[in-house]
Amino acid sequence: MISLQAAGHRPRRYGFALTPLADAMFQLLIFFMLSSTLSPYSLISLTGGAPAGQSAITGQADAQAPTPIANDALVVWHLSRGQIRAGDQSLPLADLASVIPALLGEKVADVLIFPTRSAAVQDIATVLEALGSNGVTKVRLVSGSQAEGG
Amino acid sequence: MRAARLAPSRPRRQPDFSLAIVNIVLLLVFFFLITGSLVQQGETSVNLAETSDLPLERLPRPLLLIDKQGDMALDGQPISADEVAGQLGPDMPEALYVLADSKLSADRLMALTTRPDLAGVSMRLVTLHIRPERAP
Repeated sequence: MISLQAAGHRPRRYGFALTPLADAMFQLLIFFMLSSTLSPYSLISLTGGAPAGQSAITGQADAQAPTPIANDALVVWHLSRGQIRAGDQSLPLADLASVIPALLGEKVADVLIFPTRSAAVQDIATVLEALGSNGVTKVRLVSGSQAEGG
Repeated sequence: MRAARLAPSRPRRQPDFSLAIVNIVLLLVFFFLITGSLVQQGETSVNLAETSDLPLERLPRPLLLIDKQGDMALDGQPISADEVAGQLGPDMPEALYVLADSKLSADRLMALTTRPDLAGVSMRLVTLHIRPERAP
């Protein structure tokens, strides 16, 4: 018997065609490039034992809120459009980060924020970001403030 | 001549770059899968509040969009505040991600967070991460 090899035939080599695979990959790539958005988002917790914000004066939130310690200082802020008011002092939100180290130095453990009627979502985000990123973890947002704000 | 004794040289095979291309494209696909979020058109059509110091996060579901007038849409479907809890179903999700317009009144947002029917749901405000301005 004469084998093929003996007759001089080389065994046929089957190549693996990568072009269809590359095509499919490109289709997937184009799909994901067009349909997805790169995530430039951040999240701020508003409820549910949130580290940077906790609402509000409902029964639920009160149950979740830790009991204030007697010697801990409490700060009450009224939040209005672009500024906060503490007592008779007003401070632009842009300068808030410079005040927080002093608050921490005075061992302020709890910040209570009353958004006034002029306050917007951006103001809440700004104040919660400033407090959270500077290490103030106990922040409570209190709804239903009837105060007029600047 | 010495060169005449050498075996005839085989034709040189052209290097195949297909595998390299597939690898690179696969890496790009993984990149977009990991860093991107699939959103429907118009689902994020509000001007979000801006932050710069918070870490970047993905955009999970369910997404509650609230525009400047207070109109809401849950995952792209228009909805009223009273219907949100019902639409979330009996198995409430752990968190509800709120895309609120930056100019929306804080009172409206606070009213949503204090709704009794959404008491068990943790609400998270989605903000737009912008690069912090560097001091000159």
